[in-house]
Amino acid sequence: MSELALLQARWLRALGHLATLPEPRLDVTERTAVWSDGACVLYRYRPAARPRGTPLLIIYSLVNRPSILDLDAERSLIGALASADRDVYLLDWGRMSSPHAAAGLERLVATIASASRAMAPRRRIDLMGVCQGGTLALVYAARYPTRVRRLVTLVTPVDFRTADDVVGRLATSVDIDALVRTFGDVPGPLLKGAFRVLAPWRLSLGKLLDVIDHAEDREWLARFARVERWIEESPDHPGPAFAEFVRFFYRQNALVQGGLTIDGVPIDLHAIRRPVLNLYAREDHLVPPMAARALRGLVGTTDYEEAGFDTGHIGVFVGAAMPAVADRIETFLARP
Amino acid sequence: MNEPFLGNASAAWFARFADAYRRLCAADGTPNPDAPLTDELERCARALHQATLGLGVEGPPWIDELARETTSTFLAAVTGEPLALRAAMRAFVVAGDTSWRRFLLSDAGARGLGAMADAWIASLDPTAESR
Repeated sequence: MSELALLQARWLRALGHLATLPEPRLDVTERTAVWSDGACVLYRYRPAARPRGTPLLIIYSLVNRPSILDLDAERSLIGALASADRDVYLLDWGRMSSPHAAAGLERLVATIASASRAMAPRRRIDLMGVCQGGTLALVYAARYPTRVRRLVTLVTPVDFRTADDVVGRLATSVDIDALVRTFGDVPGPLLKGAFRVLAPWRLSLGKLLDVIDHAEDREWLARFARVERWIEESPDHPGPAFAEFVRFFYRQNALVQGGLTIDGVPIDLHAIRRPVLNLYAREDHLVPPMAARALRGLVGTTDYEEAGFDTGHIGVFVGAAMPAVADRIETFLARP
Repeated sequence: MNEPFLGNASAAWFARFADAYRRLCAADGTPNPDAPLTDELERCARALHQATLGLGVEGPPWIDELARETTSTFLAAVTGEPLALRAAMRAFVVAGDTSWRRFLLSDAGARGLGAMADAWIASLDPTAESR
């Protein structure tokens, strides 16, 4: 029983520390909005010195907010890239709603195209896609291959039919059209709940134990609070784009088997002939390593690199692996 | 569509499961306040395991399968190990999610959850009546 009393005391101390933390602030790196289209905003991050090299455009997922890439000064992937004097841009989808995304995937790809023209009208760009944003970046790069100098995909699903893909199992077991017909846009809280269902114990009792283990570590608790804030900020996902994403990728596995067209042009990853860096997490329960690594055999370039990190889906952004992830990206982009 | 999210059959199953669990705990003796908590956890998990195996009531078969799997995995993780409470809880977290993931990846699991989600969506679909 003394163990239980000890755990309870630690829990209460952790709660006491959490209660005295200031309001978590996300998106910490200085940035300026340079372009917008409806809810979508293109941000430019001011590099420490005169920017060098090709500008980098980051495409994040429409599930959750991109703040996880810029959570705090010590663990900011965006901050790490910008501090290398790189000209970094982020396409923030904002809180899109159906009218804006009525055309679904085509509209999303068109928005990436417009943003890339806004940041570099006459130059190629470097492109980095994250998670679902990586899938969209691949579609964009295949549709407009001459616009991209180098492509980075980070925890990005490519083959949606791997045997260990729990998200794919669920997505193909639910009547997504009925879901979108019922809700319009897919509510953020519903998506948040669906992700929690994938690892219910770790995301409930496991988190409680994590907090107890770090009861005296105020820095850890502050980061925990910021991640929790990020999770709570889950936006609604535009319904039509959600339905199309499930239909083309999870059901048709279009990046592997084809069948997706954008503006009448068939999307074939073999059109991507520029260098590709594909980064994945070995303990990713949302994007299994095999789902990400399938990219190797699908792109049309032999200049292909991949690297795995011993962490989970979120760990590549905010875990101990993040500096190594940033280094790998920077080294790849700095190559002549 | 007034069924609870898990369905009436599941709700009834859970009620009978809880009843069987209480009876088994009582038969196994009241908790000993001086016993290490890990022993107590293990005793509870064994009772839960027995309850699941011996229940034999009507209900969604996947729940029975999942509960049996989870408790088996947990017992395999903690039996014979002098684990502290926190380590036992960690083992339970891993066992629970491992079993759950295996279940989600099974045909029965994906279909079962999909059917429940579809039923829930249909109960909210304003156009369902007219179709």
